[in-house]
Amino acid sequence: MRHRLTTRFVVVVAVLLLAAALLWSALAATVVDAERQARTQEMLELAGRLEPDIADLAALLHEQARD
Amino acid sequence: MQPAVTGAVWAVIYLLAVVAPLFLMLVGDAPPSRGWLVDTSVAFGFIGLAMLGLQFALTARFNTVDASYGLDVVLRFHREISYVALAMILMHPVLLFIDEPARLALLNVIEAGWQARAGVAAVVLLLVLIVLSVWRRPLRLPYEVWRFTHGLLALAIVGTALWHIGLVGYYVTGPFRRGLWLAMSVVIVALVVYVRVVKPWRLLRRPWRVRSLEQLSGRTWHLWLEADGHDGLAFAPGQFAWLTVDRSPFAIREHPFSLSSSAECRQRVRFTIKELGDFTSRIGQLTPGTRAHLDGPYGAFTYERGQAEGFVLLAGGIGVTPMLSMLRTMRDRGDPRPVWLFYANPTWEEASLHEELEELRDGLDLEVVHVLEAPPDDWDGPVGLIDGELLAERLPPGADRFAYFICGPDPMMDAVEAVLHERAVPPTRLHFERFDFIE
Repeated sequence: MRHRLTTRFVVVVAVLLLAAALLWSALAATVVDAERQARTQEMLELAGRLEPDIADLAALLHEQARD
Repeated sequence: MQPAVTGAVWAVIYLLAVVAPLFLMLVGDAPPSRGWLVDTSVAFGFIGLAMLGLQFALTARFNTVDASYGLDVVLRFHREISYVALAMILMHPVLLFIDEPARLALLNVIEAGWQARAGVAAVVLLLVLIVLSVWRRPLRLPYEVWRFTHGLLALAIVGTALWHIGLVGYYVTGPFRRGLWLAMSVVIVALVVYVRVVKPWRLLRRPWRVRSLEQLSGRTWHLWLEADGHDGLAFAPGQFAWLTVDRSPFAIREHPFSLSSSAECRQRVRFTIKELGDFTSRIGQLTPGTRAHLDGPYGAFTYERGQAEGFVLLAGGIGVTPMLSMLRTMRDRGDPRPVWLFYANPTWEEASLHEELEELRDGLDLEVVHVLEAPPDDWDGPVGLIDGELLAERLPPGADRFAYFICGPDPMMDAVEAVLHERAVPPTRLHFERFDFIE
């Protein structure tokens, strides 16, 4: 009986560890998604800041091309 | 604290020790995800490695852990959980190959880099270790050779796995994660040093001497040891110790035997040993004065673990030895509780301890029932095996409130367990000791 109980306990431990592995990979993906979002936000903000400069540059290039 | 509670606490500690390093890897500036399959593969690899590291702790014979479950259960868990660890570790490369089949090229250890070589080496060594452990007997590997190889392979596996992780370098960035890996490595090395150096050194400082040997019938011997310059061994009746005779405690050759003397005397201890194997068949050749070492006590097979109104002891052959210790201790302590001992043997010749048991009836409320498979012609006692009918006939009403202790060969223990289950004895009142737990 003790040995059967030990085997059952091993099965329980295996299931719990499997669940922990899956939970960990889900958590790892969440952490990275947040990072990606932060990086995308940074790039959007950078693009927003650069937009007037790019428009000025485009106008300047356009004038130079016309001259 | 109750043994069941302590056992549950140790189970939780084991689970936390396995998964904690994995989750701590995500603390702080965690490296970016490489996709679900790769992340899951990493999780399996880390869990498998942590389990392998904890295998060292399971076999380190920590009294606090072993007292909660019994060493036989701890060693069985060590054996069975190794298959789970193997599955976890194998899942690591399998998921990587599913994610990107081109990674199969990493199995070509000639052209692949060192990080792949280290990973492949760890897995191959683990497979070798498990094959040698499962098929030790068919491979005719002597126990001592196997035990030495087992320890060496285990160290090599953990070492190459850590080397693989270091070379991959993905979860080893930053001082926190590097410190975590270093701590894990230090704990494993410390466990090995504790088992192979500290413990034997302690035993060396507490030597024993063979005091006397007494031959009984049925190829059985009483071996008396005397503490040599120290206060002896404090043990609970029913426990066992690992015995090393005429060798250094640093030697791998040691043998587990139940103590058969009273726990009230710790400076002179007795083992009752039957000639059954290489070591035991030479026990009669020992001479008084021979140096010995005892690592112990171990085991949870003792009546001191809980309260009972009385005891039913069910012994098969030499399995009676821990019960002798219980009976002698009870007599020395003046314990008035009733005891029924069912002592099963193939023949009367094999019932080596019948005279001592007869003597123990004086001073104890003890009823001894001898059961023989092949009795002599003038035998009028029970014949065959210990069965439900015999227990029902001999035990008093209300015996299900007693504590039951069962020790003997595996088939006898399985049969008796089934009988007690039929008699609806609560599992909490059953105590087993398997003396062939080293397979």
